[in-house]
Amino acid sequence: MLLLFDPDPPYLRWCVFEQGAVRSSRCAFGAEWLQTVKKGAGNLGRVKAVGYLLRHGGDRIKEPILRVTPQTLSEVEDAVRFLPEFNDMTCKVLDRWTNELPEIPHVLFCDTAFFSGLPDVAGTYAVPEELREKGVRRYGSYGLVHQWAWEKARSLFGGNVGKMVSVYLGDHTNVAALRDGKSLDTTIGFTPVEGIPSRTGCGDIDATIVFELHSSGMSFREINELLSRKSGFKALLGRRCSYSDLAAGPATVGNAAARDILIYDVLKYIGAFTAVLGGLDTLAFATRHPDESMSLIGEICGRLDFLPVKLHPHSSAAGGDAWNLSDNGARINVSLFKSDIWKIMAHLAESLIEEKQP
Amino acid sequence: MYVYRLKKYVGSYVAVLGGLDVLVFTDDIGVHNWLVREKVCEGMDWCGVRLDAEANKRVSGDEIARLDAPDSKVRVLIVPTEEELVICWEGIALMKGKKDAAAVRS
Repeated sequence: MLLLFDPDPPYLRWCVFEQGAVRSSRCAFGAEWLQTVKKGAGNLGRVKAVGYLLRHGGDRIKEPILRVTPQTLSEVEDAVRFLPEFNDMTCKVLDRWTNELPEIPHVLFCDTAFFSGLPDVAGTYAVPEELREKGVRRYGSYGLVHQWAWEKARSLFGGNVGKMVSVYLGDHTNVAALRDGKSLDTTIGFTPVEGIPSRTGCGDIDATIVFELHSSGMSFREINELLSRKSGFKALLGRRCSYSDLAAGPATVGNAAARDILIYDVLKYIGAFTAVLGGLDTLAFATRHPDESMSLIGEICGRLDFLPVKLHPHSSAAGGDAWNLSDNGARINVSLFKSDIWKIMAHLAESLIEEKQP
Repeated sequence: MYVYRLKKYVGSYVAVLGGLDVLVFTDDIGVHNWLVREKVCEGMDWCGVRLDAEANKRVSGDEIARLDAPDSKVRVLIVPTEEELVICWEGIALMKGKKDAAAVRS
């Protein structure tokens, strides 16, 4: 049995993974969180490892998965400044559970690590050197999912996945360019606020807007709240809207504006990354909601007809967790994977533990 | 980084347009810097761009010229900018009370 944690402020999401089955839950990260998790997890004596997702590894953590040591703890503490709300939670949960269960392995999953090897040309912002030296650069995120999607694509299509664009569709849709499994570029920047608009995050905007807001009397804390929690699809539609609502289709009254922007931005980045890769072998979509995503994927691929992306007329996401959506004999492979961060974490944790116990 | 960013934007807009018919280089750098054009067009076969390397280097930049290779699906052009001329036509159109500068030109 594995115990896994994923910060999602103001909630802590957690999961008990046992014999391939995921039992996930979430609780408010208040005074009672530890008791709630203990009560829900059951017999803690059966836990053989605890895993923690770190959303932002900063400029020091460059391994997607590592065993927690005192040194790791100090690195995690150092990374808190990059994404305080999320990382602070990971830090506290990690600190608590390493004390609760000191005898078993604790593993850290770093969602930015996959992108730590981004070429400078993609990772660098055109800002003065003293800022770049302080770690201001593109870090990306969702690295665990993109790396997993690459491995799934390789097993689905055999070797022919050299130039791959990986699209994660969800509340925080983002796109990555991969060449031979290595990250080449991605939409998420210094933090996940950059890139494609998310459920509540603004995505790419002109940085001087921050200056405008500050000039109009807002504090930086308020501006941060505005751009990361009160923007995105929530702001476009004037109400809360999850990815699955948006993906469900234009038939859902009133979400067309946000849906069109999502499609437009995904297309822009697929184009940008195809240019960077110098062509495309594989277009891979990953999502927690494959069924709901089919019409969205259909629309995106329809507009990439010129590449040529050709979907199989009867493609569907039924059964299993990996689907080849491309038409017979199509030059560009299109795939859809059902991603579950818990299963990805569990799989990685188990292989790490086995490695260490030959 | 300059060329990299340019390529990303070209790719973005090709996707948004649903394919490409014409790629135009303009203004000082677009018209006079053959190396930037060569680098931007490198590896752009995926959207049908093939530059005629020799024509690209030889072109004078004084007038509109085609730079695509014979087997290129996309036309590649340089178009020297003449903002002054455009302003002039627009001004004449305005004075003559015509909405469309094209009507004055013809």
